[in-house]
Amino acid sequence: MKILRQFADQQGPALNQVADALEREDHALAERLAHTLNGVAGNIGARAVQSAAGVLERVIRDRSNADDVERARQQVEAVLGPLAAAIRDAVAMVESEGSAPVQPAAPASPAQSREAAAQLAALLSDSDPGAAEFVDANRAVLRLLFDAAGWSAFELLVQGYGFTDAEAQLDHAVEISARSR
Amino acid sequence: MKDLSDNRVLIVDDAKLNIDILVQALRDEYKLSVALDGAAALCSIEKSTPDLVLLDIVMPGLNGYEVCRQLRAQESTRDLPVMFLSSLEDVKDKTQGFEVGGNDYLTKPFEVLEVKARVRSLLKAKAYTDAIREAMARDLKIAREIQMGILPADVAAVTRHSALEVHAIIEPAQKVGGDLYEVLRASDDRLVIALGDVSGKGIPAALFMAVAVTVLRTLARHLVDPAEILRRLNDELVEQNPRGMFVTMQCLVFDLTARQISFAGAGHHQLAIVSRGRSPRLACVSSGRPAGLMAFNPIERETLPLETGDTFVLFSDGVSEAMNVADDFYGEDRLMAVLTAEADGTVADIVKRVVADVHAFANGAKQSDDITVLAVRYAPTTG
Repeated sequence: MKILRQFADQQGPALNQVADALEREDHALAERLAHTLNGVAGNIGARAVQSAAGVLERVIRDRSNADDVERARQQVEAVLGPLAAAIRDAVAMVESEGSAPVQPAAPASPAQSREAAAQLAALLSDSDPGAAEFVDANRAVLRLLFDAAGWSAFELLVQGYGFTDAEAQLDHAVEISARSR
Repeated sequence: MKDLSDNRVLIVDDAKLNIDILVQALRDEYKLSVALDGAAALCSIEKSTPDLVLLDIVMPGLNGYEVCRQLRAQESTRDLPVMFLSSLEDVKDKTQGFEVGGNDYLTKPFEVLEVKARVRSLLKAKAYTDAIREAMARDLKIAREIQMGILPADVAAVTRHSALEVHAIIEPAQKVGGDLYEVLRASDDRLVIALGDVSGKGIPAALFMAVAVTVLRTLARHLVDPAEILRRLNDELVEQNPRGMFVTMQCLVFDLTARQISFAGAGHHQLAIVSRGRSPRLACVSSGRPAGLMAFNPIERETLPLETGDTFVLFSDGVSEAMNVADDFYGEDRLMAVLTAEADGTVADIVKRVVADVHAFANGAKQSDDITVLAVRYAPTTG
């Protein structure tokens, strides 16, 4: 379910990005975006999207005329748009059915935050994808180290596997937190 | 052998979703790391080398082919298994993947079960290779200990109260090497000192070296003429030498009663003599061929009187032919300069200084040959 939601979130906007890249005449980026869509669509079993994205990738690579490229792009859109919307609806329904009331977390201590930060730093240093789950599981103690905006940015980095930058932000947050004590 | 679950797999893909799918597939069986582009992958590998890399090809910045090329160019990652996972389906793309050093190539979309089977297969192959390497390293370590045990264990004990001071250093280029030296007290007033270099390197050279030292030791106990020692050594080695190996050698016999030294060489380059009040000089041109090559070996002897303070420096071609990164040879001029500067030092100082100077000259260039240096000084006042 998580993977389907991510497909809808990440690949939904891909065609607009392709259009932007083509408008800037960045054919390499447009081709790579179509190539990525082709690959990930195949991996979740979205064969129609995969096939249409494969055609789009090829016409961009072959430097076909703009009309052919736009036609291929619209053919992808015709299958990707409804699929992404259907996935979002299905995910929303499942999540609303399965969501349990959130229990208020016990207040965290600075010592707990530091300990969690040290464990997370090790995961980030190893580029371990488990870092994202660790952040989910330890949100209450870790977010004490950041301000609201800093925490959102940090969470996004970890979820997006931007581990090098996340490691630097965590180090900085721990340092600031230690100084303010 | 390492348990497969202790292996770490690095997943490299610019599409987070592809990474997510692979993480879901492999997380319960292996430790995982992830990277979103080629540069991040190389950075992660430099920090901690994984056991397998699953590598996308089309990525921003460094593409997968280039990442693989860079891994193959480095000693530490030359054999790191790489499986390409790409949407590029053309035969030429797959061929290029193998040409740059990939171990496997799987096209997207992939079946998770197939990915898991191939990952397991690559990791098992790596585990077998690692186990063989470890066993070989262990055997070589033991071989080295045995080989070093063949050389004189305590040169100072051999030469005590003999009016000779001796120091030697041997540094094999590989775990085991083919250089050798011997310091043997044949009687109260006769000492035999030799330094040799066996053809080739590694295990064959080490075994031949062991044979050569054993024969030399036996001969040196009974024969007073270094030329005769080398001739007989040649005959013994020729007798049973199916692989046609040979050893070059300088052999010195000190007669402390007569205060003279005799030397003879079998295909070995000259030794250096440092005498008080004189510049260091090369002496003892080898009159014979390397020992072991053919039956008749016309080795001649030279004899010189011994003067107090005379120091004889023997060395293998790992010294004179050591190379730096520009492929220049260390050469004998540099050796002579070190011996001039260190003439008043102890024999240990001289040997250590020569070896250090060779390393400084090489400046990180890979050592291709064993380095052996032995210095012996006639110092009757300390005897």
